[in-house]
Amino acid sequence: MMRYLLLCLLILNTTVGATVDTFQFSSSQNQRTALQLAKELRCPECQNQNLLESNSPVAKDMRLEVYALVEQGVERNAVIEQMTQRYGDFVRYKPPLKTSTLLLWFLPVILSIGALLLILFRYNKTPPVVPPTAQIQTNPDEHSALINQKTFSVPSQWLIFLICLLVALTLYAFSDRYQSLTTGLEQQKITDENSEKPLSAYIGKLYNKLQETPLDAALWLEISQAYLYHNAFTQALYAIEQAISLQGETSLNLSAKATILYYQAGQTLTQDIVHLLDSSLQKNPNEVTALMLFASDHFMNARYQQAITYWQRALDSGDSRINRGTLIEAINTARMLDQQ
Amino acid sequence: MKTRLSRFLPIIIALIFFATLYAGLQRDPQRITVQYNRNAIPTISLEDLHQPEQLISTESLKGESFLLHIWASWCSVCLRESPFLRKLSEQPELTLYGLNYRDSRQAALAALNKHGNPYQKTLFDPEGTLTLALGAYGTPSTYLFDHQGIIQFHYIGELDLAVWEQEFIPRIKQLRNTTTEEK
Repeated sequence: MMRYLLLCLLILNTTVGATVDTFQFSSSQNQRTALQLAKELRCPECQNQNLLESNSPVAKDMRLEVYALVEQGVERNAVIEQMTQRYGDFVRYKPPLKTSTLLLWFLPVILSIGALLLILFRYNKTPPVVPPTAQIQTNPDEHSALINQKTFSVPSQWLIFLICLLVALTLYAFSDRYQSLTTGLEQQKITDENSEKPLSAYIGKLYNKLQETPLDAALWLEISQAYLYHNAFTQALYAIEQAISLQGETSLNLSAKATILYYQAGQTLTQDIVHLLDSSLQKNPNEVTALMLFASDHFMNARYQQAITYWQRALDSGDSRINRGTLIEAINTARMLDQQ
Repeated sequence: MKTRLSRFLPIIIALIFFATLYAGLQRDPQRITVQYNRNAIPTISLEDLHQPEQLISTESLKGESFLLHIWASWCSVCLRESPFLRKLSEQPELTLYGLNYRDSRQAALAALNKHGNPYQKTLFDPEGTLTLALGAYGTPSTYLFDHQGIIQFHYIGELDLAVWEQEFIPRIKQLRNTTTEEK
């Protein structure tokens, strides 16, 4: 018996995309009525689907309620009436004929009649009688002008079309959508301006984050460091410039910029770089990046005492970014080399 | 003159048509006011959200006009309007009940703890029986009932000051006037 009912349910469910409920009907007639009703009622949430097609929880609840009502013996019309009271006329696929639905019902008919009249009007208009010889030689422009007497001439048609287009474009330009489009595009340009293919997955990830939040200075700083690591100096510089323009000059971003320029210049301290580093240290005398850069440069040019001084300052700053063990070793190495 | 008009007729029709469509574009589909539903609240008993052993009958809500707000912890818009609802609940003359729809008790209580509880009573409707009977199909939904429990107004969408002043306040005032007249 169960199998038979389920089979009926499956077979009768012929609508595409219909869900299968395991509701037990007491008779196949009830089942048919109930399913038919469900097909005629619109899902209020997914308004393009009927109750049988829709997957939304509201539709499911409503379906089960319809089934239960039919099982209780409620009349078809009474069920529809109850649903209409709750959800309004919109829930019916066959809306009632009221003054508010007149247009809905009759617009297709009106349009069809209108189209028919239009066609009749045109073809009923016969061109004036012309002697046979003259007719053959009729200028095609004149001919079409005769037939088109009820409408505008072709140039006028183009003019009207252009005017309509202009009006539509103007309306759009002043609408909200256009404003949000332009601001979105501007933000895109900022991130797109210097976009090269990301050099690694990490840069790719940062790049994507920047697409979403192009005004995050910390991200720009991060990506500039990543680019520097890959020796992509142009991109690194561009990124650090963005950070500077967003958050102003800080000791950190000035040092970061100096570092990029330093490596770009082949590890030479030019005047500009020194100037940047000095500005950075002015803002924060404990700026580790600047101190380390000076120290490295001194060390590589065998100015060991100066290197030690800067490394010592870096140690004294107490910055958590530096590796104290490595630094102490470096100082010892420098001392050793100095004594040689 | 007749020919002149008939030339412009298609354009005029098209313009009217597009003007209608444009006006339609201005309507916000996320804020729906429902006017056709004038049913009475069905008599159902649901558990109190905070005290599962206690049942609240919809009958007990009647007696004065009240607001019923359907919400859920998974509905982000509901959480967005909670500051506004809290402000509403501070008004002494307003009776605001909550109907928790298809939610887990834990999640619902957690949401109330986190965002504050603006409701005088909260009904727990995990199966959605009362919600379905009221004809609500989206959260958040706010119902305005009169003292007999008949639906006066149903609003689907985020409740903010603008909607409150435009739709609810005039109707609440009207209800108060009619009840004082009856009394």
